[in-house]
Amino acid sequence: MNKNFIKGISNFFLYKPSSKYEFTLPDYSSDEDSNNDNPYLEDALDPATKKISSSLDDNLNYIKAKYNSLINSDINIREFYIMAVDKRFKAFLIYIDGMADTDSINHFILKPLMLRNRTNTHKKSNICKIKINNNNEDFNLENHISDCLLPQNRVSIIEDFSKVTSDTNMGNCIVFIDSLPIAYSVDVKGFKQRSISTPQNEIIVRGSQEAFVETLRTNTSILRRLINNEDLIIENSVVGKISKTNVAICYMNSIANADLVAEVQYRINNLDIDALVSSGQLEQLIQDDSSNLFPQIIATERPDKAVYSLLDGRVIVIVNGSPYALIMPGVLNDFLSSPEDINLKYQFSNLAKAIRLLATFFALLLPGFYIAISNYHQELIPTELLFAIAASRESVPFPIIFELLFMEISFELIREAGLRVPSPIGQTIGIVGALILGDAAVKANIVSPILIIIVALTALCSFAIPDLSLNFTFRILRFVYVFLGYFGGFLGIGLGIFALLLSLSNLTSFGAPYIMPFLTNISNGTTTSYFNSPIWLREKRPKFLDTKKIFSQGNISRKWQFYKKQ
Amino acid sequence: MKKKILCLFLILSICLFSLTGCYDATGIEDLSYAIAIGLDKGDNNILKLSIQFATPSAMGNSSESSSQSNTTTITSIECSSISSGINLINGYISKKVNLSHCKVIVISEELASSGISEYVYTLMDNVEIRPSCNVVVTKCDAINFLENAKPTLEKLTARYYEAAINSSEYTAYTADIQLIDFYSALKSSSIQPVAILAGINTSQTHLDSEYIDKFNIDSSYKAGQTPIKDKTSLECTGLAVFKGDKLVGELNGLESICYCILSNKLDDCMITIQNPLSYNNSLDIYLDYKIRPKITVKMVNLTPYINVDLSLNAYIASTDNSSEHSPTESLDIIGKSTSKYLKEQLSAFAYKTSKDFKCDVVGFGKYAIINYLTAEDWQNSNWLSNYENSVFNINVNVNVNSGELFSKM
Amino acid sequence: MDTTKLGLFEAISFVLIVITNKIILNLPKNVIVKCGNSAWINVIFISIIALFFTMLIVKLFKNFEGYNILGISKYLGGNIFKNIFSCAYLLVFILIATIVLRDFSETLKTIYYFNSPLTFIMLFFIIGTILGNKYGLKAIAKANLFILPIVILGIFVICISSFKNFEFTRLLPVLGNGIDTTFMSGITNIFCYSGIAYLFFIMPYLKNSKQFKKISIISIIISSLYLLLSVLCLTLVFSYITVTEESNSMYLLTRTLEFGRFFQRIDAIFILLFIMSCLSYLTITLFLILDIFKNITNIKDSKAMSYCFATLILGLALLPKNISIVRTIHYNIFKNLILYFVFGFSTLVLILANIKKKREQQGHDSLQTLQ
Repeated sequence: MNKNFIKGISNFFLYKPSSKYEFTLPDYSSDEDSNNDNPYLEDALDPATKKISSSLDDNLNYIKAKYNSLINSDINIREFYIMAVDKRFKAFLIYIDGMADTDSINHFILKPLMLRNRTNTHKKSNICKIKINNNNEDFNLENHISDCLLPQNRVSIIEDFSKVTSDTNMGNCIVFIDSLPIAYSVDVKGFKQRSISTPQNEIIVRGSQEAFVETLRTNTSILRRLINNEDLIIENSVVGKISKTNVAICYMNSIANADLVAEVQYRINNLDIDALVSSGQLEQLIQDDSSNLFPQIIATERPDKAVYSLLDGRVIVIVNGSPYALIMPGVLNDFLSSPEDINLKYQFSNLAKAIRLLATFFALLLPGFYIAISNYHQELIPTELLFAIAASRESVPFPIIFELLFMEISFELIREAGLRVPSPIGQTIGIVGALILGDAAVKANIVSPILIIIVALTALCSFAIPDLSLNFTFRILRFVYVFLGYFGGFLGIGLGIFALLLSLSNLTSFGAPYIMPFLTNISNGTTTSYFNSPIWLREKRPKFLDTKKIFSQGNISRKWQFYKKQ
Repeated sequence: MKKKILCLFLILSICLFSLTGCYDATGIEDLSYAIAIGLDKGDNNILKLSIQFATPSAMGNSSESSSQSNTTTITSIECSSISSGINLINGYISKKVNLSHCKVIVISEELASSGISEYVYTLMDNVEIRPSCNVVVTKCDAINFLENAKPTLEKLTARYYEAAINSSEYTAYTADIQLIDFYSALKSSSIQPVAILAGINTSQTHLDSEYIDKFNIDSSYKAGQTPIKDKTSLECTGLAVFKGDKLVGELNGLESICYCILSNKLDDCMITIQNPLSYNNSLDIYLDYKIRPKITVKMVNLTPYINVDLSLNAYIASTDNSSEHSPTESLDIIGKSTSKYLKEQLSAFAYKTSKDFKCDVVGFGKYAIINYLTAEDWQNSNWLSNYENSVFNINVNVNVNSGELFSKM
Repeated sequence: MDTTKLGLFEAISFVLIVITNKIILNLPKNVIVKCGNSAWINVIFISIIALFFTMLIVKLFKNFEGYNILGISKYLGGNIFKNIFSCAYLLVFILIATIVLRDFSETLKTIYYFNSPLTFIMLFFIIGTILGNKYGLKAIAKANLFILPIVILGIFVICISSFKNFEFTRLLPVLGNGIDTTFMSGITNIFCYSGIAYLFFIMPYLKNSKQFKKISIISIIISSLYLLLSVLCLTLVFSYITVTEESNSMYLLTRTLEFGRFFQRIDAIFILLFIMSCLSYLTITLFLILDIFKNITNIKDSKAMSYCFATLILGLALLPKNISIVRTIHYNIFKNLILYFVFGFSTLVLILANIKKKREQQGHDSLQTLQ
């Protein structure tokens, strides 16, 4: 006992080296003298332009080294003998387990090549005779195998290893034959994916309930199905040195402006990055002005919205692996309109748009106005309301600015927290946080009740804005206006509104001006205004897109009204 | 490195701006709101300034049933002018005085007789004062008036002031005179100002002397004279007539109705006349405009000849006996009788302003300008002094509609 | 290099913002003080004269499409004359900006910002101006296009909503202070149309030079309509306006607005509109100053000079000791400057340049016939 006691005290007072597990990564320090150039460009090019050799063993060793097949668990290499022109050749194939459909490999590659059948036992001379009779060229084993022996719908002949690796990564199966300096890339993709489901975040009442999924091919198939026209062009592009993500650029050839398409292609093809994982990353990389708070590219998960923009003359970019498609150009009107507006009568959609416009003003300016009016312009408030506010503020010890900031910041905290709470208590935390906290704060005289109303109304209005990015914009700008209102009253807010107007007027999104001073249609037929005109009056496509085809409807689109029944 | 310095500079400048800025930010609770200002003749000094403040704590809680006197506080001080008085009050009151919700300016009769132009100019020049606040002249002291403002039908005294004066819309026993109207008339060379006449109504102030018109007792009260039983309350009846900035006379209820009719301010009013169909009874009639008054002024040898033509709609409010005449004839008789009565009263009023008060309160001068071509000629004609020589010719045409629910009793 | 061009509406707003600011800054009051109750007749009179003047200028500019007045002065008298002329215009615009800045800041200080130092209030305007000029013509023109209709609507609402205070007898006596001030010496009131000075400079920035005529005439007509409206309303509402010295009549008008018992004293909202209008006006003026400076010194991009000129304007605006000196400068010195320099001298330059061009063309034609 004594020994333990002494040991305990000595442990407490004496030095002991720490036994905590520590792991740090060294900082790459940048000296002042060092070259600040990004050495990224000078990376040695990956020597993947190595050509396939005729020797099978060389190819096999190279592939095994490249794919680290001893360590990688899902790379499968199958060596076998094929039968062609009544001879046996050594061969092997490589595929990634989980990405290729093994049934297709068995039935359409291994079986017809390995087992003897009528086609692969034809002698060479017989085949030559048939070919000479049909005026064909000389016998070529490579073409013979791919044309006659591989009964798979998509086979291509490749010559270098970069294509081998990229095709394998996509889910194809690559077949190497001894003595042939080529390989066959057979499309047997069969990986599991999420089936087309309902949109999670852009819910409307009347409209299709389909949403984009992660696979590029499924998304493009949805677009093809809905547009139903051969003028739709879906170009493929590859972004990212390591991830080599497939990116599809879609547009209507007969409608979209050729310069716009060229600009989109130019921007996407000139990106120097390692990896592209989501469309959000791509949006930040190709947008016009990244220092401006306002979003310039629309992101949607609804195919009907995408199709509508395509037919208007916009360009869509879909990234493999992300269910959000990017629509460009995006102007302010688009971020404030919901996909429901097309499906409803123009009076209903105009009502919704008017409410959204009001919500925009409130979400941006209401706290700023409250601070400015209550600190500088008290005579604006009607007498009875003023006395009510003064009475409720009598027992609050903080100045208005502090209260407002406190409530706004706690509301932002509740919003952030609500995103991460596990779902059984997810709903209740929001209600608990907002209601009870607010109520308790009022009872404890930390904030005044009128302020709770202001903050709640602002939050409600910000939820009425359809777009997520614009929501964030207004959250940031609101604080700016609160400070401006506190410093200078209406003078500060006037300056703030002026500065906002200036920066928005200067902003263009892929050549289209971001704001346009039209609330309703000035000249008939255009669709550039904020409020909708009746559908039979929307004759022209938006002016700022400068489309090849201007008119989308005839002069009288409802011919049934004017034809006499006979 | 450069970027770091720039960022630091930016952050510092924003902090400095924020710490030194917002000079004028005063929170709502840092101000005390005056809802009425009272001006009296001072005992030791020139002016006695009283201000009635709203106490926010009582006004906010709806559950408290505090006594009425807790909703406002009154403070009074002797000073030499309004601005210095407010300055002195700011010295001992815990919050800064703010006049932007002031509803009424109360001036005592005594002070009004000695000239109030200086106070009106000071108030109009003040940024905070609303030009729409009412100007009231009281027959008692202003401070007593403020102390007796006890709203019974509403909570806020401010609303009580507004509502009390709004009654002129349907009784026309007074008019809605705002500060801007008073100031306009003060500065103008074609009209003299009026103010609302008010007072405290106690049993001592009731009218008990002989009255002129047996059948129109109810309209001949001035402020404080209405026989309200067993109560002390405020009353706004009648108008105070000013010559320049000095008080020279008062108008009672009926004369206020005449004022409203002639100066195009009538909304609705009620008069009582002798019933022409049964001479011992009275007849109550509602009046409003059918054709607004057309006033023409001709200058003949420097004597203004003023001609007024107007037409009114009359609605019979009460009658007590049925008559033998047919309805059309009855209405005709009543109409003629009303016209005659109104003509007499309007002419009496016009001559009273002209001969007794020598003040053109209605504003006939505005219609006289048309006889002159330039402003100089108009100034030389000196209308306000010339008004006492006016000759009036007032023609009234009354169109009688029958009563409200019953057309014939 | 900013290669934006102004469309039709943008150019009209460019010129119209001048008159709205002048109305806000108590210009109608000065017209009324001079002419009395007949100010509205005077305004109609000078509007007709201004319209004729504008049509004359449009005709004189026809021979010089795409040039602003500095280019024409260079054609007339060479580089030396152009430089002197440009310096004179530079001074005119700097004076305009200084007066507007000081006048409006003083008004704001009186109404709302009693304790703030004048520099603090002026800084807000200067920061807005510098920001606008950093962005360039495109942003300025578009922001102006947004602000102007709202301000115009605001002034219209103010004037029409005070309808219940109108008394038509206040328009009498008909000739006000006399025929002389209404018609003869009242012609000097044409200095209200100092927007014409801006017309001289917008020609190179127009998308379509043929629209210059349309732009000028429309903007002058709308300016005169608004001047007439504001003068009429002020005369009808305030009987004492001819005898008192208020600092800002439009603000007084907004103080009398009442919608029922609930909405009273809503002048703060209109002050917000006035502030934005003043910001836009100052930005446009600074833009023209920088434009003239670029013309004199032949530098490629004068955006960097916006800091210098803005600070200069701020310093000059702080010079006068009190507001009455500013008002004296505005309504005596500035008025004569506009009358004689803009209306008189510049028109003379235009006429002389046209004569020179005609002579050259005649000489050219005679040379051709000789050949």
